[in-house]
Order: sequence, then structure tokens, then C-alpha cells
Amino acid sequence: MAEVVLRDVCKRYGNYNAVDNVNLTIRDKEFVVLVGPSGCGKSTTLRMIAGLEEISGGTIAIGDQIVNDLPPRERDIAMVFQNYALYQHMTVYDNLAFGLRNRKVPEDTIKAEIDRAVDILGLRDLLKRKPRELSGGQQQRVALGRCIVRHAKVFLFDEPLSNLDAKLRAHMRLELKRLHRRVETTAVYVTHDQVEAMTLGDRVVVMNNSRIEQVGTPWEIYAHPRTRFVASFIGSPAMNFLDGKVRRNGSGFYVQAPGGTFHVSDQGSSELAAHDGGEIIVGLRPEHISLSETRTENALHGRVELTEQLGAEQLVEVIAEGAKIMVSRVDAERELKPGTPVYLTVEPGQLRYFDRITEERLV
Amino acid sequence: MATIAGDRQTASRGAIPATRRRSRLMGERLYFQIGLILPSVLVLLLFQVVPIFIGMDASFRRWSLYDPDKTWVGLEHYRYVLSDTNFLFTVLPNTFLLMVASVSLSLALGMAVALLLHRGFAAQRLVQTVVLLPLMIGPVISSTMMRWTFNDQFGVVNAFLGWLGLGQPAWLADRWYAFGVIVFTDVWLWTPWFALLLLAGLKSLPKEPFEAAALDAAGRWRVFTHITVPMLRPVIGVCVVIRAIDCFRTFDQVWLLTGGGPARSTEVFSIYVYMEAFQNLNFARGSAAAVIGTLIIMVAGLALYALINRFMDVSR
Repeated sequence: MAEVVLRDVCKRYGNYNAVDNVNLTIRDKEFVVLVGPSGCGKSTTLRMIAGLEEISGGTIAIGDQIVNDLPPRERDIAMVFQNYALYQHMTVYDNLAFGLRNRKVPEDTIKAEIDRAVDILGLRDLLKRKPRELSGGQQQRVALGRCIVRHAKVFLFDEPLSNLDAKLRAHMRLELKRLHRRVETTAVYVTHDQVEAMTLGDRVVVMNNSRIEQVGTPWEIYAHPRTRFVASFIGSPAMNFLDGKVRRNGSGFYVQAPGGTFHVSDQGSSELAAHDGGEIIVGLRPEHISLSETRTENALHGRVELTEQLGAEQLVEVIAEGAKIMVSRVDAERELKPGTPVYLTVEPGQLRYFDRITEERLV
Repeated sequence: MATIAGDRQTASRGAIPATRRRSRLMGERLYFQIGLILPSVLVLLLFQVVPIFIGMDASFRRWSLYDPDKTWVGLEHYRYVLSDTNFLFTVLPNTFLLMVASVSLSLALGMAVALLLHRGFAAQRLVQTVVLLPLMIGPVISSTMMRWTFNDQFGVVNAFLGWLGLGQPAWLADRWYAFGVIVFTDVWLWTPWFALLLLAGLKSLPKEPFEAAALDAAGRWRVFTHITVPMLRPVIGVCVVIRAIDCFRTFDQVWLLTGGGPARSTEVFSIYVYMEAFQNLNFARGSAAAVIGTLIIMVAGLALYALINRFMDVSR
């Protein structure tokens, strides 16, 4: 059980910074998810914690010990790989036992540990099989078992579910969550799937271009994204961004956007006070937009371009003065033909404002 | 070819009934295919298959230069070879000893070299080239070189031993020393071949199991025995089978180094056949020995193959 602390961690390949000044504290027993697009440095960060990549700068500490110069085996960590990395020529039992045997653990202790792990993971009937005789989900559970038997200080997961089909992935996601509640070990999980990040993480770390963009609970990340990137990466369908102009209206403000204007909440007014007359980006989540076919005050006027029927809801793409706006949670039974004029409104408190140049949230 | 046939088919559609059209086109394609392989089949037949049958036929006759009738004698030559104590107690043991020693030593050394090259180091490219040099030198040249290297009066080995103040054995005049030199030469010649193939095998292995093993606290030796070797088994298996069969017919090294001597004590199978056929001019007896050798290596090869198949099944 241990805390993991990354201080100014860098990874350089020649002139290219794969990981740039990452600072992060992962608390004891916490489940932290690193999420970001491919090439953002999340896997490299994980592999540096594991000791599979050298650290070019900064320090990584596990527990109270700085591990920069420790080989992987002395870091007391366990890892699940994307392709499971099972030992194909060994039985499931031997796969689970390998790490313990290398550490000279007595055979009866090994047996007891494996017994415990197979009960947790439901692998009892598969112990004598070879990995290639198992399904993807079963192989994944063996890989998890390899972590459980070790009682490692930290569990690392490198996109462990991305080789599974959608249904199994959703199932294993729940299993992982249950497992973490049961074994209570510090866990670092890397994924590019925002749903996994939101559902699994106690905290989520959003990375982009080798840097951390934001760290927070899933709700914080969703509700208060610090940058346009975070806002666009988290949430599905993605947040809409419109170019807007800030206008004063007596003591308050409003924002002029393609197709109409938005009222700004009191909170929003304080955020926008410094940008009177300036150009900003307005972010509005598809699920916060209400769509009406009758003229409404303080609404954006546009026309339906496309609809996507999902059964429980419809996604509607609206074009307002050339700007594309996605609207979700539209009643599935509503009939909206392309070209229908519609009015879009959003609760002022749900609007997010970003600087047009730095793309950071305005505060 | 397929596209030409396809074009024809569409062009002539309707003119000829479908079945006839198809069979004619198939026939055309077949002729083309036969035409392509015919030259190599002819060469193979004329220079490999026919001589093999002539040789087999010869082994049943009195096929010597002073017997133009080539009288049929049945299994007489086989009986001779199989009761020849030299063949049974020197030639065959020597052949298998050379096979086992050469294959196992060059496999072990080749593996070591491959692991070294796989790890990568500063002068790796240079070392890689140097290590592979023996592969580029003809066996005749390297064997001649080795004969001089181990020459008891002028060879570097004895010069070096003399400089160290050690004894200077007559390398090629003693049975076991001479056999040692043969094995040494063969290992020297074939280690690079093993190294090259095993290196290719190593490079094709996925890296994740090795990373998992590093996290699983496996030491270098455990990684080698429990991860690397099992994963390389298919490559090792194929290398060993090919090389073992090939080793059975070793000729040049032995011929040039010892000529089978001293006193036929280092004679191996190919030398025996050559001596019978072309030194004693007893073609029939040589042929019989060759056929026996073929049968032996067929059985040995199949056994090895089965063994390695089982070995690989375990890894699966």
C-alpha cells in the first residue's frame, strides 16, 4: 500500500518530449486514470512508474522511496498489459505462480495465494489450461490474477480492456471496479477511452501533448473543464464550441453567438467581466441544450441538418449561421425533418467560456 | 494470367457454352502452369532423381570397371557394408558423434552470440559482421585454413602453445585430437548460421512477456530458461533438424583436415561412401552404403522431427 509521487517527470527522445514536466500525487489506495489521445504520453508515464522506461528528468517515488534507479522487480509493482503478456507456454497456474516463485515464496503460500485469487476472479476451472486455450476475457482475468497474488504496492494497467469487444469491455470494467474495492491497492490505469476513465477513476488525469491538462474527480473534469481540450475530450457527444462576442447589458452580460445570443448567469458575468467586448469561445454540452420548434427568447436560431436515432434518444445536428451544433437527449419519437427551423436554449449556468487564444477556461 | 483469362471470359460470353468455355480456359491455365515448372522439373529429374535410381540399381549389381555385364547380385553389397566392422564401429559412431557434438555446440554458441547481439552494444555492427564472416567463406577454404592452423610444426596453435610453454600435440595424427579439430572446424563454420537464425527469432519475439517477467522479478537466467527458450522453441527446433540432417553428410571438412585418417579413425559416412566408390572404385558397394545412409538419415530425421514436434507441442 503506497502513495506514488511524480515530480517534474520528463521523458525525452532526442529533441522530442514524450512526457513534459508531469507533477502528480496518487494517494494510497486511490484509483487514478490517465486518459488522453494516443501519443499524449500517458503510457510512457505509466511505463516510467513501472521502470520499463528510463526517466529523463524529475523523480518518481513509490511509498517513501525514490525509485528512479531501481529496476522494475525492486519497485514492488504489478502490471496488466494491453495484450495481457501472459507466458504462453505455461499453464494458468504457472503464470500466476511465476512471480512468486521468482521471489522464493514457499510453494504452499503460493498455492494459498492462487486459491484466493482464482476465487476472486472465477478462474478455478482454468488452472491447468494454457493461455491460448482461453478467451480474451479469461486471459485478461489471468493477467489480473497475476497482480492479485503478488500483493504489490501498486497496480498498473496499460489499456487492459482495449483488446476486448464492447460488451465484454463493459463487463470487465465493472469487474475491475469491484476488484479494486476488494483488494484496495493503489492503482494507475491508462486508457484513451473517456468512459473507462469516468467510470473507473477516483480521480482522472487528462493528458494532451505530453502534459497534464487537468487532474480532478470525474465530476470536476466534466463540470469544470479547465481547458477547451478537456472539455472536448470528456463527454459524449463532445461539447459544442461556438465563437462568441461578449456584450454588456446594463449590469450584466450577454454573449453574441452564431444564430443568436445567450444570457449569462451571475457567476458567468464575473468570469466575463474582464472580457467586455472581447471575442471568446462558448462551450455548450449537447445534453444541456433544449431544442424547440417555436420561437424562444435568448435562443440560437438554426436549422436541422441531420438526425441520428439511438432508440432511447435522438442526436440532432443543427446548423446555425454556418456553425455546427450537436444536440442530444432529444425525445426519440419527435419527428425532425432536415431543414426544420429550431431554437436552441441553454441554462446560463451550463455555459462554459474559453479564451480564444490560450483556449483556457475564463475565470 | 487470371486477368487475361477473365477478360477472355467476358469477351467471348455467349459464344461458347459455359462449361466448355470454362474447361478450355482451365486447360490453358494448366498448360501455362506446367510450362512454368517444366524446366526445373526436368533438371531435377535428370540430375537428381535419375541418378538416384541408377545408384540404387548399381547397389544391387557387380558394377565395377572390370565387369561390363553388371551382374545382378542382390543384397550382397548390403550384407558386406552392414557386416563391415569399420562401417559399424567407426564410421557410424563417428558420424553421429560429429552430429551431436557439432549441432549441440554450435547451437549453444550460436545462442550465446545471438543473445549478445540482441542486447546491443557500441560496436555491435562491427562484431555482427565479424561473427558472420565464417558463413561467407567456403568450407574448403576454411578447412584448409584450419589444417594449417593446427599443423603440428608450422601451425599458430602449436606456436602459441609453445610460447606458453605447453605441450605441442600432433593434432591431426591422433584420433581424438583430429576428431576434436574436425568438430572445432564444423562448430566454427556453423555457429554464425545458428546465431543469425536465432537472432532473427529473438528479434521477432514480442517484448511484453519480457517486461512482465521483469516486473515478476525473474533474474536473467530465469528469463532465459523460462521465457526466451520456450518462446524460441520453434526456431530452435527447425534449426536443429535442418542442421542435424545436413551434418550427417559432412564431407569437405573431414576430407581436407584428415581425409578420414589417421588410419581411417575419423572416417565419417560421406568419406566412407566416397572411398568405396572412388578410391576403391567399387561403385556398387559405395552405392549400397549410400542407400543405407539415406535410410538411416530418413529414420533419424523423422525421429528428430517427431521429437521436436512433441517438444514444440509442449510450448504451445
